[in-house]
Parts: sequence; structure tokens; C-alpha cells
Amino acid sequence: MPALSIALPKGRVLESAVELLERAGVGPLDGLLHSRRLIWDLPAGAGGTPGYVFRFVLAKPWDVPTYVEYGAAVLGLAGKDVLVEREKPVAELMDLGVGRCRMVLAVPAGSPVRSLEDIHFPWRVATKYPHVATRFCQRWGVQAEIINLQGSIEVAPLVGLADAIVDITETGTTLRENGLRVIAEVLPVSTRLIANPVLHKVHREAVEQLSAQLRQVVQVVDPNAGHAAGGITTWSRGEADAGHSVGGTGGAAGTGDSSPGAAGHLAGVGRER
Amino acid sequence: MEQGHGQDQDKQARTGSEPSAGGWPGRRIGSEPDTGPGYESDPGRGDELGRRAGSELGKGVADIERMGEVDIYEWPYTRVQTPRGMRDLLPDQVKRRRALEAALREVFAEAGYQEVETPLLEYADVVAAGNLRADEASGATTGSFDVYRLFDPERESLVLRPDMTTPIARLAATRLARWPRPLRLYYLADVFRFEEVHAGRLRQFRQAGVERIGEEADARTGGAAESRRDAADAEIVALAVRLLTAAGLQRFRIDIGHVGLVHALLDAGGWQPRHRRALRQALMERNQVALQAVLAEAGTENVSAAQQAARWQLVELPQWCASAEIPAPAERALSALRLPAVDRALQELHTLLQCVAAAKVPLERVGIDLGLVRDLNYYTGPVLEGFSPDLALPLLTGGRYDHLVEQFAPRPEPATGFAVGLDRLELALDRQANSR
Repeated sequence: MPALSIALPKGRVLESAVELLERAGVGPLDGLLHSRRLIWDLPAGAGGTPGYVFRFVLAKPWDVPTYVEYGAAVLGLAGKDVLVEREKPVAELMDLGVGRCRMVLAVPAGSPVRSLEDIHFPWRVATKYPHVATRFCQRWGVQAEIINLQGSIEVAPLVGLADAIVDITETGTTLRENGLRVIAEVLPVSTRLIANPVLHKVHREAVEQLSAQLRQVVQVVDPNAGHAAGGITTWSRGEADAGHSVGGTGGAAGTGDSSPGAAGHLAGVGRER
Repeated sequence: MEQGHGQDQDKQARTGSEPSAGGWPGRRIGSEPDTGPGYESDPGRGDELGRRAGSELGKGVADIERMGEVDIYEWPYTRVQTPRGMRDLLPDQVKRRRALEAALREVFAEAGYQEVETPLLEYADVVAAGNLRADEASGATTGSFDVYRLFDPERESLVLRPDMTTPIARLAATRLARWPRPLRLYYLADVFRFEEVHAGRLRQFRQAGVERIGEEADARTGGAAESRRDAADAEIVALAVRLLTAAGLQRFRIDIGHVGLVHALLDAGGWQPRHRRALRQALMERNQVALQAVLAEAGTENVSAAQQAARWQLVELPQWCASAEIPAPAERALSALRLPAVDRALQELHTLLQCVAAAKVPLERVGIDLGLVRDLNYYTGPVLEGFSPDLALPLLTGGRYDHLVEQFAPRPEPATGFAVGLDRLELALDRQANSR
């Protein structure tokens, strides 16, 4: 029996992702949350397309696009933050509306910096998202050094490692507790359903069936609502800049033109001959 | 942390559980030196290799033990790896490749195509002329890759050819200008692109492909040219199917799309330039989230009903995918727009499918994918993409490019063609063999 493999991100988003899948009629999946097994097979008939086994693969959130790119999973659930940082040639099918948060640039509360224009070299920005942070700084002409850290980003300004951070925040609590103040929104983030473009076609029926089921339960959210600033929320590769907006300045700031060199790596995806 | 990792490995070795979990299966290390192009350049991996060699895998395997003792930063010999994205072929691999190439040559020759060779290096101007990818609105390029550039001692700027279509267009416009049309040419050639190396992408890779350039003289007068062009596209599709079949691939499909549809819908939607750019990018990436977001962001103010209808159809395009026919609901919705350019593209696809069927191509080998958007500046009509369920990457790509030859000569000529990546084709054949 053919299997439709779906890479799920372990950690923060897993619970809401599983809950969403169950509401869409795929499941039961509660065992998946409380077990240490990394591969879960859901027999045919438990939601999804008849005749298909759903195989869930639990991966590190950062690795989900890689699994999908290589075809180790047909589908995946990945955060937009990871997708823009990793720039993998995978197809985004749906905004699942879970795992919502914002990627922001923040500085210590006591800092004299009020806006991006106040940032000068030799400023240092610590982040888990060096690629996104670099492009953000280029887009707004911020001259700063990007420091790539693996975690505990909030600590960097406290110990003098960096003057600012680019990181994701759900409620802002962690930032506040660490004495940080948001000065710009980099990117609104949510979990996306992604697919390997070729395998999507191979398993088209099953994928469409699952997408339709998910569409029934995904909350329709105005992409411009619920965030500090407006602007297109499509931070697709190559049009990276379209989605940027500086917090507090309203939607108008997000209308920037594409900067040269933002063409991204879509290399060869467009034309491979 | 590094230390802890090592202990973990040791524990695994002692308990004997899952010997190959979480990393490289041990057997690969000695037997397939080319599976890991860069253990020297990746210290983390090298360390792991060394530690494993000492603990769980090393017993009785001489080369592994030796590698475990070598400090990778003090490699005593000359640099031994090939440049990133480039590979050696060992005798068995060469033998196999030549056999595959012989099979492909036979198919090309049978279809009346003749082989050409062109230099590895072209003047940078020639490659640039073939690069039609400059975005008309912003000047930025989309879907581009970097090329290898070099200067010869006379300061001429040269480029290692990134594809064969441009050199062949140059040939067609110059040295083969007086040859009877259509020109039917094929090649088996290495091309070079400076791309990120991942998921099977190489920087030097071999392509087999065809170009069918120009039409017979009388075809340029009036309506006959259209149908001849459709026939040419069908010839190319049929040839692609025959080629992959001859290569021994059992499960594959050639999907057909039409960039004319995308252009027509983009034009009819009354988009702002920045939305247009975002849409083109999103279509190429098949990013449906981005398409919807641009649609929402563009709003409905000052948008006519006709424009709005075209907008909806544009963002729906990636959904229309079916085997061997245009999905009926798509056809209805698109026809209802009453856009001549859309109707023309649909008509071309219909004729193309009829011609393909007439050429006795098995129907299950052909699919329609209206969301298939390859480079929008380069292609001008039907585009194709061949894929196999055994490979998560496209195998074969191509389409109609009517504006390339005129970059080299004042005389425009219709042209169509495709290329197959041989490294990928071999990978798909390997997977097919292993899955049995």
C-alpha cells in the first residue's frame, strides 16, 4: 500500500500541528505526542485518502524542509522562519495558521536606539537566522555585523556579545523578561504545509485530499491582520523584500522594491536546460 | 557536547542497538569513496567518522582504522578532493554511462536528429545574449544561476557553458544559417553551473538534449506556421517519451504546461509591477501561500470584474494538473475569461495533445500541468518537465523558446527542445533497480 510521508516538526509547534491534523480527520495521533518513536504509521482508513498509509516522520523543525527537498517526505510542516532561512526549493501549499509568531529586531530596553536608522557600524546583531538578518539589514541599509548563534539569542545583548538580536517571539514575554524592546518587525511567521514539487504530483490525489481536509479546519486569517505592521506576508525567495515593514510605521513601509541580488537561489529551478 | 556525542556512540556500540542509526551506514565508508564529497571540508563529520572508526566500526577494517587516526587538519598529501559539485567516474560507471549514451544516441538518430559539439568555453557575450532572463520591470534576474567565468591571457572574458541551447542557437544563426529547416540537432555534453550543491545538483553535469530550430520556408506565410509549430512541440514531447523509455525507465511522466497562459493572465489582471514580480516568483516556486497573499494584498480597489476574474484564475493555475488532458473545470473557467491569448494557449495545448496522441505516445506518459512555470522570460510557449516517482527531482526539462535565435541573427526563428540530466537519469534508474 502506498505511503504518504509527512515530516512533522518536533517541539513548540508539534502539539498544535497534531491537534490540527486530528481536527481535519487524520488520526488519532495522540500517541505520537507521548512517544519517543520517530516514525509513526497511520493505517489506511484513519483519515486521508482511502488506500494510503500516512507515515509521520518526526524531525527537528530546521530539518523539515531538507526532508521534503530530498523526497524523504512528500509533505512537511515547516515554519516560515525556517523556510526563508533555508531557501529550499519546496512548494508551499497552505498557511496552516498554527505556530504564529513574529520575527523581530530587538534592542536592550535602555538602548538609545529608536529606529533602524539609529543603528550604525560596528553594531552587532545576534541571530539564529543569519541569512534572513543579513537580507533584512541590506534591505534597510543597516550596517551591522551578523553573529550566528544556535540559541539563547536573548542573552547576547546582556553579556555584551551583541547590540541587538533578530529572533522570533510569540508574545514578547521572553524579550521583556530579558530587558529587550522590539524596534522592527522582520517577518510574520506561521507554520506552512510544504511539498516536494515532484512527489506532490506523484501522490497528487492523496495530497489534494489531505489539503482539502485541512482547508476545512484552518482558520482563514487575513494575512495583513494580527501583526504590528502590514505589507505582503509573502516572503518568498527572491521577493524577500516585499514583506518587510518596520514596526510602528504602518503598512506603507512594506512596499519596497526588490533589491538587486535578492534573486535567491532559485537557480535552475526556473530553467534547467 | 562533542564529548557527549562520542560517549553516546560508545554506548550504542556496547549495547549493540541500531548500529547504523542516525548517520552514515558503516559499510559506505570504505566501499564508496564518492558518496561523501567533503568529509575533509566538514570537520564535524570527520570527527564522527574517526570516533566511530575507533569504536563500533573499526574492527578488522584496515582503511577505516587508519582514517580514524589521521588528524584531518594535517593531511600529509596533496589535496585530494575534486572541486565541489564535480565527480569522478570510475571504469564501471563510465562503461554504464557510455551504454546509456549509446541507447540515447540511437533514439535521436532514428528521429532524424544529428549530433553537434561546441566548445566548452564561449565568450561571455554569447552566454549573456542567451540569457533572456532580465526581468522587464526591475532589471533583476529571476531563476538565474551563476556561471564559471575566466579571462584568457588576452583578457577576453570567457564562460564555461551553462547550457547547450545557447551555443546551438548561435550555430543555427550563423554557421548553419543556410541549412534546410527545420534543423534537428542533438548533443551529449557537459555543462557547468555554479549552484548550491544539494539534492543531486552538481556543478558539472552531463546533459543529453535536442533542439529543433526553424520551420520550412513556406511555413512562415500565414496560418500554416501555427500548426507546424504545434507539430514540432508534439515531436519533441514524443521524442522525450521515447528517450526515457529507451533508457529503461519504467515509471515516468512528461508534464506539459504553457507559459502563454501565465503571461496572458498576468497581463489581464492589471497588477502593479511589484505584485507582478512577486507573482512570477511565487508561480515558479509553486508557492500557493504567496499567491494568495499577493492576491489579498493587491486588493480589489480600481480592479474591474474582468481583471479580478483573471487574477483568480492566475492564482488557481498551480492546482490544475491532470493526466493527458486539460482539466475540464480549468478549461471552462479559463475560456469564460474570453481572453484571446488564453484561448490561443489552450488551443495550442489541445493541438499538441492531439499530435502527441497521433504519434502513438502512450497516454499515461503525458500529463497536463497548467501550473508548470519555467523561466517566463526565456520560454514562449509550451513547456515540459519529465519526472519519475523514483526521483524527487525533475529529470527532463524543456519547451518552446522563439526569441533566442534572433539574439544572434536578424532573422527570428521558432525553436523548441529539451534536455535530460544524465546523472539524474542514472540515479532514477538505480532507484528503480533497488526498489525491486
